[in-house]
Amino acid sequence: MTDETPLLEIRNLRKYFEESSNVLDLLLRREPDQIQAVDDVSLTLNENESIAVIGESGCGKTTLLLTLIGLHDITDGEIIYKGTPVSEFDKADWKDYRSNVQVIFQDPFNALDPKMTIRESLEEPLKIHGIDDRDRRVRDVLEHVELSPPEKYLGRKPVNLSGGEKQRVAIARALIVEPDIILADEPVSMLDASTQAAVLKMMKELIEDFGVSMIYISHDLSTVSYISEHVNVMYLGRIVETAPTGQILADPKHPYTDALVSAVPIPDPGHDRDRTRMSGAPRDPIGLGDGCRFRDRCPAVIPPDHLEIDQEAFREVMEFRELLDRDEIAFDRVVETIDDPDPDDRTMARALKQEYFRHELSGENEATLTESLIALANEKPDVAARRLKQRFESVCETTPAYVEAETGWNVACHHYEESTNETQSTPAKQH
Amino acid sequence: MTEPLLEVEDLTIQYETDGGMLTAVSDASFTIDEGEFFGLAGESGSGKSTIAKSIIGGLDSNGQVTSGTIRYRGEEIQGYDDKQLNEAVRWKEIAWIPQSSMNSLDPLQQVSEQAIEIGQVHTDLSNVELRDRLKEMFDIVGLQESRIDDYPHQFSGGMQQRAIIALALFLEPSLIIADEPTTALDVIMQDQIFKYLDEVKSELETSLLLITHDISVIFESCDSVAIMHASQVAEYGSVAAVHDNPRHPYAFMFKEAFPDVREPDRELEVIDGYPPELIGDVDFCSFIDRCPWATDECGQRAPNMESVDDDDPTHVAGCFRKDEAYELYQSERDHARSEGHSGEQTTAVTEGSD
Amino acid sequence: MRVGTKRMISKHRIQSLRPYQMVAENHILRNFLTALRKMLDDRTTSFYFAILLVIVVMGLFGPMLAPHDVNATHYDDNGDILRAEAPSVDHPLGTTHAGYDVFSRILVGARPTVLTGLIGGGMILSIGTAVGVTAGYVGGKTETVLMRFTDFVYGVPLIPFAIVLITFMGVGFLSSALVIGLILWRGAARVIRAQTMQVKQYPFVKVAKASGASTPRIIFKHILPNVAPMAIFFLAMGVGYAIILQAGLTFLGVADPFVPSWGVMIRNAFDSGYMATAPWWSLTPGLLIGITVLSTFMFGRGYEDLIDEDAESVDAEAVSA
Repeated sequence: MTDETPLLEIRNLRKYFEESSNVLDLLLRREPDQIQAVDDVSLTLNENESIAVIGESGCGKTTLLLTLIGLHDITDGEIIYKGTPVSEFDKADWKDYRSNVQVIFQDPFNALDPKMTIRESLEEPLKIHGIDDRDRRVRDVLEHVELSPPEKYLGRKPVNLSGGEKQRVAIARALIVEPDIILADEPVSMLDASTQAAVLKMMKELIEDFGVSMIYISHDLSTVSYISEHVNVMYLGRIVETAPTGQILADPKHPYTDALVSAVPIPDPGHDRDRTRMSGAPRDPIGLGDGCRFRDRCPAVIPPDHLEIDQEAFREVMEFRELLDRDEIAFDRVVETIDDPDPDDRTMARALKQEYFRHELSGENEATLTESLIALANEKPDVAARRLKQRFESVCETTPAYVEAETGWNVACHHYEESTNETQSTPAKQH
Repeated sequence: MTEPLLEVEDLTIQYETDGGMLTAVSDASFTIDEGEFFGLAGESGSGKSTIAKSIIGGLDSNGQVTSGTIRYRGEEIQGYDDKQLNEAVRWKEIAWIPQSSMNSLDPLQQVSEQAIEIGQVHTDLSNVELRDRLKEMFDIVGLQESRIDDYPHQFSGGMQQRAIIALALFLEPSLIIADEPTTALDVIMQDQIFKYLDEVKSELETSLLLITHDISVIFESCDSVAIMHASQVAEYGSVAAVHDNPRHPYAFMFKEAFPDVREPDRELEVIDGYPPELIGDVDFCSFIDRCPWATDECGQRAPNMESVDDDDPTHVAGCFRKDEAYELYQSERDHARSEGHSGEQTTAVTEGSD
Repeated sequence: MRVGTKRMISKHRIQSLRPYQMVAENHILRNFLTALRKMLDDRTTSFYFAILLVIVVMGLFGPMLAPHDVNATHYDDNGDILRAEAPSVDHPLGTTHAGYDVFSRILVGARPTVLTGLIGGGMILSIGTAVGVTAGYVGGKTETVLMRFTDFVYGVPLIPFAIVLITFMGVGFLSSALVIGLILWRGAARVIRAQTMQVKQYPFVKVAKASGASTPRIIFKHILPNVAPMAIFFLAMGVGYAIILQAGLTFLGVADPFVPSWGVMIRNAFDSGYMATAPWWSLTPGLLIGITVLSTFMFGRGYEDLIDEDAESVDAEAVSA
């Protein structure tokens, strides 16, 4: 947009956690598994801009937020605030950053200290940052969040406020130090619709009035469109698509975004919406390796060029290979479906197929699958995995580049990698 | 037509509190037919969950049905004690899907064990038959049949919720009561669950009483809806009728408060204030303090639920101004919109001079 | 709906609290007073609180109120020592075998008993809270070290350890109270650590941290007020246990027999062999110890009323939201 330094820049941010290791792990020198909560995320927030990060629970959006406010260390990458990287912050910089970056959490019921009055909660950030004229500021900010007259609220404790009122106080507390940036984590998702609308509207006005920039984190696309001009869609730690809100809602490019948008309920009985075709939930962000994070659930996962295979059948193969990779094939359960107490490899292979495959394969594909399943039943998972990989390896197993599909519209999906110039039909929409 | 499955008539439920008798539900009436998906919508504190609890006898100890009737297949059940309810309706006839799936499965028992336990109490079926039924239900809700012997922790959150639905369904109840079944879930998971409920509807002809604050879910998935405000049913009818021709101010304002991804730029309606706490009998319209069109009459007596003049014979609304309120609202909004567009400059100036 | 009821009641409560709020600007003090007031709303709690007050008053003014010198031997008209005499008008609780007035000794003995309770309970509260809050809030290595130390203290057998330690420190009434405090903080530390970890997870702590609040500030402004109900409970329990244990230690002989605490009185009665013949001598201090400890425990139980005082039932609200 401009040549000025952006307000906040996140470059290739990674935040990994180690899965808690016990004494045995230490003794055996086992490397603890890495939880890849935030993986290579880049974002830019300009002044007076409101952007959103959306995704399902567990996609790492809350970790991203906690990392941004300095409650988590950074594993790799950089957060740059007004041109200065956070890693080079001295004490004064941190203090400045902490008063300029404020946060509003999802849960209004625990966002305020139950033992403090509203006045005390609002005065706290002022005291921390040594700001005077507290009484006036507290009253002003309460008026701004439409809690008036302030006298009615100052002496109360959170228990005497409704959910909406509490969230207003939480917003007031974020605004009172006149920050540059507000980070909001699903601030309205626990409120009733009527209150939700009021709080959303008020937030929108406030970011305009106060000239604040905002990163709004949510799983709910329908509220996002009221607050943010730009949306970043996050899946398992990575941003898969970035585009202006209106466009992303109208024409999602990434298959995951498409699934997300099409699952939002439409408040209109006359509107006939197809239910989602997605099944299951995102996997745990542990040991993810390379490749597109969405490939095991993706309805548009790309088969190799030479392969003739039904899309749904290929998706099942992909999902099965993922399970195999993670050693999550439930042999015990499969054995129970067989009457024979001591089944041979073929019976076992057939049972495995029944359990994990609903779509029929044919010809060479079928042969390869059967062969691999027999290898698997013969307790040779490596062989099985190798055979399957040889035949069914997809381009989706390499990490897709984050490419600009259209101006201001970035997608990380192999469907769009070469299509930046030549227009390709959008494969995500096959329904 | 056959008799309705569930009839709630003039139901009033009060809680005994230090401040007096707190009215949670006042003169509420609706019916659910066999195979009907019925949505009960409203804000927190509207009394919608209280109604559900009263049907299965789960009211808090200080709460009681003070008047009105709940009839299940013609049988009055509002006065039943736990034992009678167990015999008459629970599980076999009416099943309950609670909001928080995490707490409602016993973590120490396999899902199949829990199902057999329930089955043995309520049916004469053998364990094998019960297991077969559970498998069938697992299939309907999209879980692998072989997973019935898993422990709850082996399921993800969404799968647990589905396992609960399977458990609720497996005695093939005629009515499922679901209290905010998807509120804690992400949109994709929510859609998955409703996909399976749709399937249940088409395959088993089960009725559903869906309690939620999210009216978009009701409009999508239910046949009819009652919108409640502070103990009173404001409007009741088929979803199409209530959506297209809402008559009660709360109903249309509530509806307009919901965002719609198809129209990201639409102004959201804001309903000022909060539902009141009602001590004693509610002999006035409980929406009076929040209603822009309230008149003196609204404070003098509670409006009757009266039929609305449209295609839906069951469409009723409890508002003295039901014939004009929506039109007033629409014209006011159109007016405001045109004002807003031409007057944007002036508002900015006044704000600046503040 | 249950929530609605609650909210209404608490509004009512706030109204009646106005004067307090004006006086107590400091929020820790205010919370303490609010909590106390809330606890005393319960009749049982306030009844036991009244008993405790009486005992504390005895501890403060007992020596002044005592009608006789505690070490004065009383004689009858014939000049004989009033040995283990039954209660009379002059000696309402009778006399000991040395002719001392039991009533006076009870009044004077209240002070060491109350002191023991306060020192023991105070130490349990302060060490337990300090260790628990530090371990719970700071976490990491600090937590590991502190909690392993707590586990170690759990392994220390109280009575033998007390006997050994008192032998080193010298037999005395203060040392016995100190030893009790030095060991019994362990339970408080564990529970308060758990509570702290819970409070630490709440968004309001995260918000304070994110806006730059220092660790001491968070601990004093947010953590302590929120673990206070539990701390009050442990204070009450601690006072009770300290008094019981001190009586026990005294009885075993590891306390100063010349400070006439109630425990010492029972021991003296036992030693004299008049236990059965002069029940007023041993029974009265025994009953008083019992009443005191019961009252502290029952008062401590009142903390249950505090748990949902400010923390409204979040679940209930979320369900209906």
